[in-house]
Amino acid sequence: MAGGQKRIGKELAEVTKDPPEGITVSLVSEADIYNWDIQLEGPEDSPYAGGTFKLLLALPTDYPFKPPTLNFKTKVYHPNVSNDDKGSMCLGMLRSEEWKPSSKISGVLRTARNLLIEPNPDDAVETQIAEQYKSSRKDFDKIARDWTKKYAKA
Amino acid sequence: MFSSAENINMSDTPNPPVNGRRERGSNAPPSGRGHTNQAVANHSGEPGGGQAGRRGGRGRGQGQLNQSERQRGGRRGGRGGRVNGLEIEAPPPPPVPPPLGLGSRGGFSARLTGDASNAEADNRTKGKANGEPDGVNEVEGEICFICASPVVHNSVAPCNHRTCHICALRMRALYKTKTCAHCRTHADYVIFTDDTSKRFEDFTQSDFAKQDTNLGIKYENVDIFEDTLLLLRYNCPDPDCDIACLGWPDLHRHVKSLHQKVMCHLCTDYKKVFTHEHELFTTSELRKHERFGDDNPGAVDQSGFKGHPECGFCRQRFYGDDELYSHCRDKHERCHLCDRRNAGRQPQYYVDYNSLETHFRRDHFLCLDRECLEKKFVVFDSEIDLKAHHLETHPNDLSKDARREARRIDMSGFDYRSQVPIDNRSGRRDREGRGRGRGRDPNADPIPPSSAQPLRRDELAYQRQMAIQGSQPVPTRTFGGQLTAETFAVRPPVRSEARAGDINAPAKPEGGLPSLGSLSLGSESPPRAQTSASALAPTAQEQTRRFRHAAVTERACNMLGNDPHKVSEFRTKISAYRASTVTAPDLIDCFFSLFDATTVELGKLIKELADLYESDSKRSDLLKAWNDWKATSEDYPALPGSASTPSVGQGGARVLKLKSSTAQSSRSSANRQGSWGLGAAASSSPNPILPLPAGYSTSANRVGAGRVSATPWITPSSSTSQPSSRTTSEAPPTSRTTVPQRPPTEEAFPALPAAKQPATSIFGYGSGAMRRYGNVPTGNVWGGGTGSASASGTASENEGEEGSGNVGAGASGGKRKGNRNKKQTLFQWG
Repeated sequence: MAGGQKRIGKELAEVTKDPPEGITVSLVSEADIYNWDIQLEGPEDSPYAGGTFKLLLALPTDYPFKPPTLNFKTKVYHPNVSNDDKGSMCLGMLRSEEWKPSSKISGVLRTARNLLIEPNPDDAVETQIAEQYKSSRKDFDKIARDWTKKYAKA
Repeated sequence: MFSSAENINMSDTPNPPVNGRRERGSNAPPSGRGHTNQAVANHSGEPGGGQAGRRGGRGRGQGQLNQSERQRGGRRGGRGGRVNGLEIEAPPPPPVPPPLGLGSRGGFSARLTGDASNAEADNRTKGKANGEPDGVNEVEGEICFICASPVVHNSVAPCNHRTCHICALRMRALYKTKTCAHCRTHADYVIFTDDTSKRFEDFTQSDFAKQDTNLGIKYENVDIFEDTLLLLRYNCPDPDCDIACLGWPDLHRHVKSLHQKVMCHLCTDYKKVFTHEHELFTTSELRKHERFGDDNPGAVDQSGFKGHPECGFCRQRFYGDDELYSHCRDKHERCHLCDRRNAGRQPQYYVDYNSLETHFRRDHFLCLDRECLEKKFVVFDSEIDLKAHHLETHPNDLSKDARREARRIDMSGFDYRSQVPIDNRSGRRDREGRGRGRGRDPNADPIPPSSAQPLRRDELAYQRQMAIQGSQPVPTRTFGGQLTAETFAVRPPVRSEARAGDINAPAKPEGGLPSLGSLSLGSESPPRAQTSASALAPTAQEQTRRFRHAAVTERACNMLGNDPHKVSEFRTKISAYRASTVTAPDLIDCFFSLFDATTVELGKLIKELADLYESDSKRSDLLKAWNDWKATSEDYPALPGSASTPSVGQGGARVLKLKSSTAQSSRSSANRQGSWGLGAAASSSPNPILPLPAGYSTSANRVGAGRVSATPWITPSSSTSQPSSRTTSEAPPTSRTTVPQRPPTEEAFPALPAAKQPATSIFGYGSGAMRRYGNVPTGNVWGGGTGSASASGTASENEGEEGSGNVGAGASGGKRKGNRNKKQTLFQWG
């Protein structure tokens, strides 16, 4: 309608053709271009290695003027992912006041994956996990690995 | 530039058809004239006023724009040629018009953003026309990075980032942000140009043909300027209709009468798209749209929209989750203690503070001191905190022994585990159930007399909440929030009364509540009843109301600069609205002449004020009228100056117009009849003048009187002094006990001292009366004979129950009693 679909279509084509490393994109349902199914491989050098995380990327109707939202469907132990049934990922660039219409979804996905490698405990949704990440990294890594083993290896 | 009267009249009075036709003709490219005329003929059913002023229809306050708009008619012709030439190859419009008219039609719709295909076609043909290869489309530079559509005109920001002019305009006009879409750099001005490479700093002032200070756009040439303006008009969304309307009300009317369709009010209020990008619905489609969205998987035009969420308390729909959230935030209450415990997830809402207070009493430790109750939110998570509060704030209420006693902390009740972060719901529940049951504070025993189970209040609260959430039918859509179930809201009085007996003896009902009266909001008649379901904790009911009253009065006084005349006039207005002698839009109209405040401030006042009305219809009418006003005047500022016809008795004309428009469309939309209530008979009549019910005719007069400041029989001075002097003497008694049946004539002449031109002119377009069809009639229905009777009936019922509800608890009435009770409480602790 407002040009958004065209942009989404274009980005979908790009991401499908040339996906960012460790990321596979498909549509949740072929008929709906606003909800993307993301398979995210846990980065090698992170406690999430070996796991495959399922994410849902939901684009608003006024994309690209409003940011998309990114939710982990697979449980993940991470300071920036809310530990509830929503699994909302808190990405700085996705905040409405920081969102730029020029940001691309592939960029969003890349940032998301980088956040798995390097969590941002200072901007955490799960403060306890962030606390642990900062104070006892080993424990954090262990739990994160356990969770990865438990939930992300199907 | 135009008098307000003219402005108002513009949208009200049916113009001679000739006028409308001439205007439309001048707007259309000349080669398309044949077709345009045909269109005119087609639209002849449309009230003429709709089109006549369309040139001035938008952009209120944009002097520059307005000026140039007026020049536009002249330039139009020349431009039309070009457009026509370019678009001769545009894909044939879906159905209808004969090929002869193709040019003009395409010329209109293709220059709008329309659907992408149109724009693309436009571009392609442009390429051909310029002799460029067709492949120009594929060049990256020609595609807007933001919308992925072909660039028609470039927009260059000072950071030298480029978008298409449509995206830039969308950001600036609709999203109201002047930041760059690429880098978020703020830009006071962007340049709309056809030059694809020239840098921002290379432009000089002489390069610009036009400039819009409001939107911050400099136009390289007039064509771009006009293309831009086209987007901002109130264009009919129908792909085959080239009508641009005066404003939202006009467009709604047009769509309804001509296309037998409706537009979603929530979308038109909130959705950030250009007018022609909105959708037209049939009534049933609209219902589906509101409830489930019009997501149409697989369709090309799927929107991904899932419906407008509804507030479970108010049964009112909101544009989106954010709007619903802010509604719940503003209108309903959340327990900050529970929120803290849940880390803000799954917020639980309570319908109002009374309901929340009941929750406080049951599940937390509420300070029952009268002042603290009045202060609200003096509630604690734990017994210890409450004790500390008592020691700190009310030390005098305690005897020495009790004070000493209170300082002691019983360690057996200390649960270290509660410090442990809670991240697993079910785990937490088990743990608490076991852990806390053991070590209870013996002192706490008398406090929760209702809990036979060895659970603490917070545990109870948690479990109750779980139960509520479990039992609640999942609403079609929530944003993760929870509403308290109705049962929960209803039950409290019983329990809280019982508890009040234990801890705090029932306070006396408050007899007069003198401060309440000051606003004289009530047409409340003496027996004060209460609607049972909404009567929550009777204790706080009166208090809450009183505070709200006080708050509103204070705000109003401040905003009026404590001018006693104005304040009393304000009161008069409010009671007039209460008594249904003034409709909500008119009330807001009056406020504008009364307050010299920003819309934000006024908005706050109106929202608070609306909360004071017990009658739902009053409240929602007022809010609706306000939102309508905002929607029409702020989202799409209207240019003054479309008015050209003199104004006589426009109030009446306005109603007539409303009627005639319904009469026209009533064949298609039978369902609307319901909302017209009394007016149904009138609207079906071919001659709308005769069968006006009483409510209509009075209001018509009143509207007229209020608007036309030049009406000889009211001089501003008399109108100010009259109501004010009367109110000062009358207001206090009216407040509670008498029904303020003011002679309509007096409120009928709100002082419009200096006629406040901008305000009134805005209302010419924006008053809710025109915005929503149902609006004015509903208000008037209440004003009509039967209506007013039932209205006051409800009010008195409310009142009566409040009174009776007060017996169990109360506010300031039982001061002595309250104190004694406090003592009791404390002894219990000691």
